Amino acid sequence: MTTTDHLGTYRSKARAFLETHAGQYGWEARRNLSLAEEVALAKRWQGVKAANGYAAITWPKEFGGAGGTELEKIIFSTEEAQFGFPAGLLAITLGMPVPMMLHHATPEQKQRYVPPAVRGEEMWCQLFSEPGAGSDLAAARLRARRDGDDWLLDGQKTWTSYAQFCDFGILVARTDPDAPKHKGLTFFFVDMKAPGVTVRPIKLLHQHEDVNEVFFDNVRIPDANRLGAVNDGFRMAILTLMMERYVAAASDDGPPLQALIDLANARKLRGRPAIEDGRVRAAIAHAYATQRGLSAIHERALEELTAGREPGAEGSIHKLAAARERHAMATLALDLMGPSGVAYDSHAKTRTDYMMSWIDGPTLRIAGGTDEMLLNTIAERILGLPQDHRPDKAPR
Amino acid sequence: MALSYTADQEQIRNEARRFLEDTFESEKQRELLRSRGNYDSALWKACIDMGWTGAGVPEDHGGLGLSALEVCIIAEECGRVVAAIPFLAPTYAASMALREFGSEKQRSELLPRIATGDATFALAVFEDEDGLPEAPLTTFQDNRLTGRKIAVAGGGAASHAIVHASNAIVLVDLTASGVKRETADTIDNTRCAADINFDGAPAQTLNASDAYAAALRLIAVQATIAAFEQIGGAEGAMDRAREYANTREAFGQLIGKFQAIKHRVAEMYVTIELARGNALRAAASLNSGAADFVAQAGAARLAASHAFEFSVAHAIQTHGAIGVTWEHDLHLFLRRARALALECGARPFWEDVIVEALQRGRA
Ligand SMILES: Cc1cc2nc3c(=O)[nH]c(=O)nc-3n(C[C@H](O)[C@H](O)[C@H](O)COP(=O)(O)OP(=O)(O)OC[C@H]3O[C@@H](n4cnc5c(N)ncnc54)[C@H](O)[C@@H]3O)c2cc1C
Repeated sequence: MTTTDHLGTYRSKARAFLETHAGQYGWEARRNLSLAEEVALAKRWQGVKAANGYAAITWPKEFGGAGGTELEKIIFSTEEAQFGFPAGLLAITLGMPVPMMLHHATPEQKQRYVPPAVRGEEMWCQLFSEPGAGSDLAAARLRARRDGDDWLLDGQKTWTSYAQFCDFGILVARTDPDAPKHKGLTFFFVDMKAPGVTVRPIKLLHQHEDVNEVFFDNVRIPDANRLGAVNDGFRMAILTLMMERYVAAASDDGPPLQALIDLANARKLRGRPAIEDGRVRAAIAHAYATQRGLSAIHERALEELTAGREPGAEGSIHKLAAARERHAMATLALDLMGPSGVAYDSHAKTRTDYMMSWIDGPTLRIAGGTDEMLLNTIAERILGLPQDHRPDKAPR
Repeated sequence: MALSYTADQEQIRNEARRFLEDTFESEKQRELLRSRGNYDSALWKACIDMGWTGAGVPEDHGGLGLSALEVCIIAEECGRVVAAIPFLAPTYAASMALREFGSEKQRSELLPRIATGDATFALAVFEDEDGLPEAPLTTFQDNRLTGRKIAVAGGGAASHAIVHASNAIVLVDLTASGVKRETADTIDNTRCAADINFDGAPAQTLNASDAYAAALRLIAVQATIAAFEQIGGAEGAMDRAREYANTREAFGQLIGKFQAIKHRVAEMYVTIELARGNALRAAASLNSGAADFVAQAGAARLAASHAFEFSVAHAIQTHGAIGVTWEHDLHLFLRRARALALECGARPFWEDVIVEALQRGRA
């Protein structure tokens, strides 16, 4: 069987599997759920996937993975996104923290931590950002002090996605305050239920409590919770961020273009169908070009992967362009609804509701790296432009 | 659907790039801009010797029988050096027209001449500013063509034209009697554009049952290849900006360290990659005969026009005053970007094509 045949079969099998579970875990099932209920649903769904060989598709079987290929994973997640399964809630867990464990923890630790995460029993968060350290990750100040065989953590993290539901987290802490800032950090993982850890949800502008402040008050962790060498945490953090070299970001899209066309057919502008209006047509045509362009970029990246080559900047391009386009489409859709466009349902999903898609736009453009940071990445890593003037990197 | 190039295709690209970089003289380009209706005949002849005109012609008619994608790859390289040869895209569209709608006789007469570069084509479909007319004023009767087509790229020098008439798609020998061409001074004189008057010019019909649909398809083919030319141009402009940002200093540092500059270049790259995705998809749809081809060509056209114009504008800004001099190459790109954006249907036209295809479920 050729690769293409194999992947075709894989896709249809995955689709059949997804179809049988869509009713119980897809769009409809998620309507009107609270975030906590959605997280619970996501964990159960992960369990179902694990039982059927669709969880952690590329990971070794001994850790609960499916021992499959990168392409199978991308095919599965693309199909999964069509049905609105709540996979995004575990995207961080399975995207960065647990892969870091898989790569850098001891064999015993891997055996302890990886399989439960794969089965959706335990959730992980990524505690990198702090009030004074977002884009500038190396500015992290949370202290870790050596105390015999242990470390004591003191300080604060923030913007931690889903921390209120998590069992464990990875973090960078300052272990040498006297070293230049990029050199004094160390990478750990922590038990989120340990004494001294306080998690406080932060309400975002759409009233969802996706992110949290996390306080560490003399939190004791064993040195065995350290990943990588002491004071090598910045490099480890960058490795974490590069973990998912190519993420198929198909799931962060707003309502499909067809919904906008239906809306433009149904609504009127000064007595005429809105779809006949040039402004509307221009916007639809441009959205079409952007979406088709992005999906072609995605498809080409898959071909590169199949051919054993490394894809390039696809992830950055996708996040930058998709967020902008989504915002433009949602704005137009709300305009077409006229005064009634202001209606707001805080349970609505970005994929099915224009107001939610619109209001989520700015958040999307900040979470996981701002537009400016993405442009820096493209300019420096791909186009070979010089790095920003960085006084913080100069030797003291 | 293959969107990445094979090793053979990479080979074609490398050869084309090397050849064009060696041949390109921007001085000559500037010279051609000074008067109307020009193209680089020596370069075109060299392209023929490279076998490019035969690329899209089937082997049994003396060509290389390559797919649209190979022609696209060559077009991209031509765009990169703003090559003054306006015939590649319309000639490929014409060979496509002959293959799809031509009689055996028309095919065996003309395809070999296309392959040897003896026949060059223009696509004459526009009559006014309103895009492709559903009911063109140009008429075809008793094997005679009468009417006027405007701003035909390459029309000043092509030997033949494919013309969209009120009831037919026809083939005209532009050197025959009854054909009068008027070249005009244009923003990019190297596109050799002309208005063409047909006054009872002898013409032959091509066997297309729906003339409008056929004409739309043909400009979509031309637009697909042009999109690659635009992407090449956009990259040419981006490369210049990148190079300048990496060498020019101001305030004691490379200007590339200023994000206002660096982000411009990154944004160029994003527009170019979006355009490339669309263009590769359009070429693949063309090759596979997919139903969404016309809409996809429209998307390629919108994205590529944007990428080229955006990249040039920002490349010029990146250069400061040197970028707006006659001596600097960037205005060659600026001119070409606008000319290509208008040449096979302007933006509003393609926006309508896309929306109508989406409404009919053919996108
Ligand atoms: C919904 C959501 C979920 C998140 N989840 C997590 C999580 O799970 N774990 C985690 O660790 N973090 C998380 N974050 C934090 C996120 O990574 C940061 O918010 C982001 O990196 C930006 O940092 P900041 O908010 O501190 O803004 P700042 O870094 O202070 O940026 C402020 C402004 O300055 C600009 N800026 C900063 N540096 C530069 C520069 N070098 N060049 C140009 N402009 C610059 C930025 O683009 C921005 O416009 C999340 C954020 C959101 C919104």
